[in-house]
This record gives sequence, structure tokens and C-alpha cells, in this order.
Amino acid sequence: MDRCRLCDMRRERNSDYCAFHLEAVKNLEEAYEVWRKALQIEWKEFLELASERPETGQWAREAAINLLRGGREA
Amino acid sequence: MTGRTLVICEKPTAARRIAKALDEDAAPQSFTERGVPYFVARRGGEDLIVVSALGHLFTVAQDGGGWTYPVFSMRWVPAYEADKRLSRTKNFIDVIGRLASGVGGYVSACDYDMEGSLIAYMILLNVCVEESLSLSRRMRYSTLADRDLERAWEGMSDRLDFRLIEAGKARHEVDWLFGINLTRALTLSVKNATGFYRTLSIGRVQGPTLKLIRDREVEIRSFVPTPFWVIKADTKVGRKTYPLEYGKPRLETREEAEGVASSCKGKDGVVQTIRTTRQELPPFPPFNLGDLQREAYNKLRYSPRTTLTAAERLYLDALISYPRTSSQRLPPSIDLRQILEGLRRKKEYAELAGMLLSKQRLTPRQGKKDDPAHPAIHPTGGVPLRLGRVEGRIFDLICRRFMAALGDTAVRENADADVDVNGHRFRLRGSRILERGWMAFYEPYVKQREIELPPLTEGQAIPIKRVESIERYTRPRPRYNPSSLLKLMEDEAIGTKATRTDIIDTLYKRGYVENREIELTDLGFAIVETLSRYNPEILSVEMTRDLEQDLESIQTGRASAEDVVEEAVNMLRPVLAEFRSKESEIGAEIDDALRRMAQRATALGPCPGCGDGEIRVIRNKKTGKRFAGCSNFFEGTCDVSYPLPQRGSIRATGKSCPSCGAPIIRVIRRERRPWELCVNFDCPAKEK
Repeated sequence: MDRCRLCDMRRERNSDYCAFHLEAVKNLEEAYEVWRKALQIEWKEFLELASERPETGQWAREAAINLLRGGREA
Repeated sequence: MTGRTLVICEKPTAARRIAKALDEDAAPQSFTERGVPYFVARRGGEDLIVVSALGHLFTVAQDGGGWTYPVFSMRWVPAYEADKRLSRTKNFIDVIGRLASGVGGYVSACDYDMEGSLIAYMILLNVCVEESLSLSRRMRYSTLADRDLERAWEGMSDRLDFRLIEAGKARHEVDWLFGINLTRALTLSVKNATGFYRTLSIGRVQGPTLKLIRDREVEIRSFVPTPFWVIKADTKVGRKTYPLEYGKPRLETREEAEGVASSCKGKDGVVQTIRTTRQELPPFPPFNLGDLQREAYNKLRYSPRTTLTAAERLYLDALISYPRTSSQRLPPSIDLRQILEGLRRKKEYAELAGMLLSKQRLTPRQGKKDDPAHPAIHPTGGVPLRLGRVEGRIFDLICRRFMAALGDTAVRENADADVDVNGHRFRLRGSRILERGWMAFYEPYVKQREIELPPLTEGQAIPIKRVESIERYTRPRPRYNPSSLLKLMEDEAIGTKATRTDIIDTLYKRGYVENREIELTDLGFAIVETLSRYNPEILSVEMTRDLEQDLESIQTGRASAEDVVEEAVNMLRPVLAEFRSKESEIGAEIDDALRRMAQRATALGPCPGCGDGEIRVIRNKKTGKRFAGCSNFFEGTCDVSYPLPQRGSIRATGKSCPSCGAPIIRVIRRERRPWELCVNFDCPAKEK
């Protein structure tokens, strides 16, 4: 299966995601460092909060929800 | 000389004005033949036959048949032969041909730019006798006001501007080569791969523009916000409350922000230092087209297309100068006093124009950008009798900007006071306008927020009325709007001032982008992604910019049109060969992307009933009405369904209702604000 687990687009090599969702996952990982420092929160709580923010982009939200449901990281 | 001269204009309205300005009695004879208006003006014992084109009467077309690619063989043909919708141009060509017989001289009086020069050249080349090109003269004018047209007639050059013509011709040919070949390559790739025909087109400048939009869209859709905190505080001096700015605009942790707020709460501030500075604010330069379109968008919310259309009408009514200009400068040859005298006749501008006329010297603020062909956009001094709403507002904007450019520098006084609150530094900011200068002329388009500080002394204690830390989140950069996209294209040097507006319109027409805050559609995404993968050159800003520079260098004589067209062919050849070799993959990928995106467009979110199905938009085959239902319905394992609004487009938001778990959708209807709602009609949250 060479499709992204979130949008059915072609997935990147060595990843479960397409280029867009992979980029979103990387952005989540980078942003988590800022959130953790700012709010002293865990990864899961961060994903919950980030997925609810209106500023969060559509792909980043989809990636966050997928990771919350136990999806693997990049 | 037979005493008759053919004067070729670009549009019927311009022909009427030119004939009137050139006729000694300002009353030329007016005729219409087969729906084509023309005029006979009398000047210096000569009859001037003033005819009009209808924009371009000739266009580039394929030389030979076959709907395939690559195609590099082309020729110029009458526009009606290439496009049946332009059948009216046949009458213009025929009537001009008849009127041209027996004339002794020819004048190109089309707009003084690349397109205008090319329009007249093609008519002379294809409709008039062979020697007409060597007998032709060129009128150069920037306004259709009588005095400017007469001056242009008296000072016209004795030959056509061949460099401009060559540049225009090359631009049309290069654009045709890119447009026809890439459109056919895209369309045939899908047709050959799937058997289905669907026109997919892309142009030389549209590709890179679409790529720029795509990059921003990707950035927005994959954006993750991060938190930060700001400290908001107020102080009260006398009876008035003033906002205080905290020394650090952003704090990175909640702990630090709450620490600052709690340590300042209930404390007094102490004024440390007070600084007062005078700032000179020079006026803005007069408008070029891009500036006018941006200002009209920012101040009046008019799209670049609306502004350009209105400006062109004002130009044809001889109320403003030629709008398709890059210049922000008003050369000394423009009689500024005469224009102001004209504006003074209009009630709204009488006082302002009078103020400027009372000055000993009128020195306009000049911008950096210049245009060899035309000055900055300015009023002619003509007073409109009646204008439509849009034209009226654009005219007002241009007039006020013109007068403001002649105004004096404004002066603002900025006063800052540093305030210490329990070891934390805040700043109290004030500003007031001391001399309004040009701002008086640019009302209501200039707004200054003035905060006048109370009298303060160093060491004075001031009470802190409110201090709190507020949590904020970073935001993605905004989507482009037609105005900011225009600016980006200008900055990236792709397209020209004359074509950028059309290119943006084309992206909308082809369904690649939508909404005022420009959003890439699924179709736009499919095209860009596939081309990025297989033919990134087509989307390359650099390649387009280089070609643009080459086209410009034809105008300055540094390159020949033939060389530039040949270079375009050489650029296209490998791109098209690559396309051909990967045609089936490209076609399959575009088709796949279109199908996937069509399917995704119907998906609204996970089903709250069965958990593993997907709620999708489904159309009832009998009634044609739409509703939302679970994808597992057809397997017989879930029968969750919801009614949907029947009007407007429906989009998934990616969110689920916190109350019932059903998907939240966004409904978009024309001229209404989009709204979001839970798809479940019986959602308990709605009952509340």
C-alpha cells in the first residue's frame, strides 16, 4: 500500500504519510517543544489542545487526531 | 499626398475623442458602416479618417492542423478566424480596408504601449497597402484630453515604434507557444491515460503564480500554532485611562507571564524618562497601476480587476491619464496648475485645489519607479458630469492622491514615557499630528491614531489600574488576496502591469483558485502537484522571470524578437519531450488526483454511529437532493444519515461535534458569510 494513511495520496518513502501530512507531523513535533516549555504539558495533551486550536491547519489537525488515536509518528 | 490620412485608434470611444480633438471645429462627421463607427475630421486642409479597432483584430494561430503537441509553427490570422466569438472583428477589418484605399498617410493613434502599437501595426500590415508601414506616423499621448491629443498630433514621430511592436509580437507568440503546448499536453495526458476528455490548461505565467499560491496553502494547512503571552496594562492619569506597553512584546512561558502580572498588580508605576521626537512624514507619490489597485483594495475593497476597469473607463472619458503605467512620477511637462484649475471647478475639490494653487511652487512628491512611456496616474482636470459609484470612488482616490503628492510634509510628534512598575519596564506611548500637510488632501484615505499624553514629570507616580497576562497563539501567514497576489507577482517580476490582473482572473475562471482570500482548489492542487513532480520547469518562477527579462530587452534593442521566440521554443522542447515520455504517468496521476479529490470533497468526517465508516455527501438519484450518510450503509452495517442544506457548497471542517460526535460542516453560500454547523439535525446542543 503506497497511500498516505490520512488522505490516500502517495506516501513518502519510509513514512506512513504523504509529503503534506509528513510536513504537518514535523511541524507538530517542532511546535511541541515550544508548547512543552511554555505550558509544561505532555505530548498527548499537546495533541489534544493543538487539534482544537482554530489556527491549526487542516493537515496538522488531521495528523494530530491520527496521532492521538495511536497512529505512528513520521 | 491625396489630402486624406487614416488615423487608427484602439477603441471606438477613443476614436470619437481623437476625432473631436483633431477636428478644427471640434465637430467631426460621424459615420457607421456595418456596425463599425468611424469619423472624418478636418485639419490643416486635410481629411483625417479616424477609424477604430476593437482591441486586437489579428491573433496568433497554429499554422496547419491537428490537435497535438508540440506545436511550434504559427502565423498571425484575423481574430474571427481563430475564435468564432470574435466574428464582429470581420466587419472592422473590412470597413478599415475599404476606408484605407487611396489614403496618402497613416497614423497609429492607439494607446501608447506594446498592445496599442501592435494593434495598429497588424492593421497596417494586413489591411492596408504594403508601403503603409513606411508612411506611418505615431501619436504618443498619455491622456485623451483635447489639449494633450492636439499636442500629440503636432509632435508625433514620423515612424512607428518598431521595438515596441516587436516586443508585443514576441510576447503574444511566446504566450501562445506556452499556452497551446502545455494545455494540449495536460489535456491529452489525461485523455490518453483514461479515455476521458477534460480541458486542463496552464499558461506561461499562470503556472508559477499557481505554485506561489500552492506554497502558501501548504504552509497554512500544515501550520501548528505555538502559545505566547502578552502583558496588558492600563494606567489612569487625571480622568483618562492610557494603555501601557510591556517592555517585552511576547513572553514565552505562562509562568513568566503570570509572574509579571502578579508582581505588578496593585502597584504604582513611576515615570522614569520622557522622550519627545518630531517625525516628518512625506506625502505618498502619485499612483502607478499596482499602487492604485492595492490602495483601492485596502481602502475600498475593490478587486484589481474592478479598479482597472473603472480606471480604463475614466481614461476613455478623458478624466485621468493612461492607467497602465509603472511610473510614480509626474514630469515637468505636465501642467499641474491647469489640472488644479480644472479640479477647482468640482465642489469637493474646490477648497483643496485652491490651497495648492495659492502656493508659489508646486513640487510633486516623486516615487522611485518610472515608466518611459507614461507618467504616474493623474487627473486631467476634466470634471465628470456623472459617474457610476465605482468610477466615482476611483476618480476621487486618484484626485486626492494627486493633490496629496503636491502637499507639504506632515509632522508628527511622538512622546514616549518609560514607566517602572515594581522592577518591570512599561512604556506609555503618545503621538499627535503637529502639521497635517498632505494629509488634509488625502482624507478620508489616511487615518492617524492620535493619543495625546497628559503632562508627566520624571519621578511621578501613576496608578496601575489593570494588569493581566493574556494567552495568545501564533497564526499562519494569511492567504493571498487579489491585491497581495498582484504585489507578489510584481516583486517576483512575473507578468507585466498589463497582464497580471488578467492572469489572476484566469486562475479563478479555470477553477484553480477560489474565494477572495485565495484558496487553491482541489483541481489547482492536482495540477501543481503533478507538474511539480514531473515538470517542475513549467512552474519555475526563475524561468518565467528570465523570459520576461528577455521580452523586455526587445524593447530596449538588446535582443531580437526572433531570438527570444526561438529561446522560448528551446525552453519548451525538452519540457514537452519529457511530458510526452511520462504522459501516461502524468495523465494517470492527474486523473487519480481528481478522482481522489472528488471523493474527498464528499467526505465529511468519521461516522459517530459505527465508528469505522465515513459520513459522506450522497445524492438521491430520484430527487437529486443531497444528504449525508455513512459509507457502511451499502454494506448494510450502518444506517446513520442526516439531512443537508440544499443550497451552497458544503465542506468538511475536520472537526466533530463535541456534543454528539457527528461531523461539523461548513456551508458556503454566495455573498453570505460561511457558517459552521453540526450535521446532526437532532444534535442535543441544538436543542439547548
